[in-house]
Amino acid sequence: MSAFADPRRLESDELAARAETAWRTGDLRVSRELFAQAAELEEAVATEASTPRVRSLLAVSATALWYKAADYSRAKRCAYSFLADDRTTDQGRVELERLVDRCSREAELARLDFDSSMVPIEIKLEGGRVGTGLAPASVTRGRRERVVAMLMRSAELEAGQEYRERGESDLSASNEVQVFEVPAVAASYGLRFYVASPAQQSLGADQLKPAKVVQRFLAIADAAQRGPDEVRRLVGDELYARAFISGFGELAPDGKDVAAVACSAPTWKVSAPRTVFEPKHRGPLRTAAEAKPVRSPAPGEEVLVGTLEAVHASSSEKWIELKMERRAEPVIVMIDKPLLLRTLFAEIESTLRAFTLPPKPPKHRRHRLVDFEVL
Amino acid sequence: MRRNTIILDLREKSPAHQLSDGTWLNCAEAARVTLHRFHAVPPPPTPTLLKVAQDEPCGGEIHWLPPTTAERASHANEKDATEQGAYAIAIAAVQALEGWRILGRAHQGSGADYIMAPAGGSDEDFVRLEVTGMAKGADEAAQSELRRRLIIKIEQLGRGDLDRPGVAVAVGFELAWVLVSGVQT
Repeated sequence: MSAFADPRRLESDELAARAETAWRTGDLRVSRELFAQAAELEEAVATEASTPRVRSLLAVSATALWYKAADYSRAKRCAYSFLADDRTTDQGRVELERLVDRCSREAELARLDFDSSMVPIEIKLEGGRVGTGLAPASVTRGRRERVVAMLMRSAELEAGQEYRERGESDLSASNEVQVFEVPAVAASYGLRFYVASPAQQSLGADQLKPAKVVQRFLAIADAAQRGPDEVRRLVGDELYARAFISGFGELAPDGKDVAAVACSAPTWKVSAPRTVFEPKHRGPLRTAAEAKPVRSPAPGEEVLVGTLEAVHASSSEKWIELKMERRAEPVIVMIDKPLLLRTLFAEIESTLRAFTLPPKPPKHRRHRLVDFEVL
Repeated sequence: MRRNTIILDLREKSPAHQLSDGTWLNCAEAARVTLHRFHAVPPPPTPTLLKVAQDEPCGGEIHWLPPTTAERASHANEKDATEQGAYAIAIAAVQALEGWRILGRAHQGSGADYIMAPAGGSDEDFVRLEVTGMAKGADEAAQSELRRRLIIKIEQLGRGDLDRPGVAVAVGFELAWVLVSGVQT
């Protein structure tokens, strides 16, 4: 009988599918129990498989199921037993060793009282002066700091927090979310991190989940690769958007020291695209980061966007005519501040973003200009 | 290579596959829920276009049952339903087009791969199946987007945890297209 047709394998698959559903619905304890049951069955079938590739595939699968059950010592014992077996293929050994490495990292985080919902994230650097297993410190130092900063910003954005100008994140100070760095895997150069939350806080529905933080970060990375406007569209808040545009602009490769930078979460806990930055992505992000900040409207302000057609000034009143799309007649906006008037004369025929106070009859029947930006 | 009309039957698991019933039912339900968003419930079956590598496209039909209210609620997350549903269609397609047998799922640290073996071949010659699903879109832009996603999946085959050849499939639900790559080594 083929190992794949073994009823225990089918049962293992059923249990793993149920475990994944439990994970998605937040029932971590049930998920781990089901993964452990699946792992037991898978390991039994793997032990009896006779052909090398199938045996190695099932060995990796059994080890991975123990890992997903967060039973790290059992996962490592399973891996070691197959690593000691001559029948295990070279590729199987590579995969088993990779799983042993992951188990060691996550077991250590668990020992430090972090929950098994921790999520790995990898920033892989390639080309340029990056070699196999090493990279110049000048290339990694700034990128490392940027990634950690952006991961915390992602957590704050996910938690709905107002933008923090400076200082340590509240989430980090209160230990609600932490970012750990782990050594790069041999034969590559990658900055590897784990986003983790403490074990005692793991059961709340409102708890900020590491998977959500990483998903948010990777979604913004994907937007950044498509350009700064995509980041703005996705993030919404201008201050956060600028922070991410600047961060990914620094992370992106320069084509000389680094040829490519890939962001991914090599884990079953997160479904998110792998984003690869090339040198062509760096320029637009850095230019946008260095541009003058876009003003956000203050509470009560209304933003009008249009072409400045005319500026009128008499002894008693001053106003501008703003031609806006889908309006037959220009909008009249009154000006109270003489300083604004002087600068507006030079911007006739420019497209403006005008920050105004809306009309308030009976005293104010027109918009009143507070500030403007030239687009 | 010219082909006759290809039948993709989501109403029951093919005996050619060694998937657990639960896994198949979950994927097939998700496919029905997603199809129901865009297409009238059969009969007649939903007409489909299938294309394998550089072969000429061929016509196909998807046979499916309407989802129940409970099934729609169970697959309310459209992203997950699209992803799971695409597997059901891809599994039916690779079997109908090229005779592949799904052997099951194999887990790794970063997820789980569907594994399949060639018709009449040994399980030892297994390959991976990588699938992507796209729910909405029925115009030319959607066609280009589906082709782009297939290319991305082919690239992923070169990077996966398992160092084995693989086949990539892209499923467009509203488009009713199934694109299948050749075996990528």
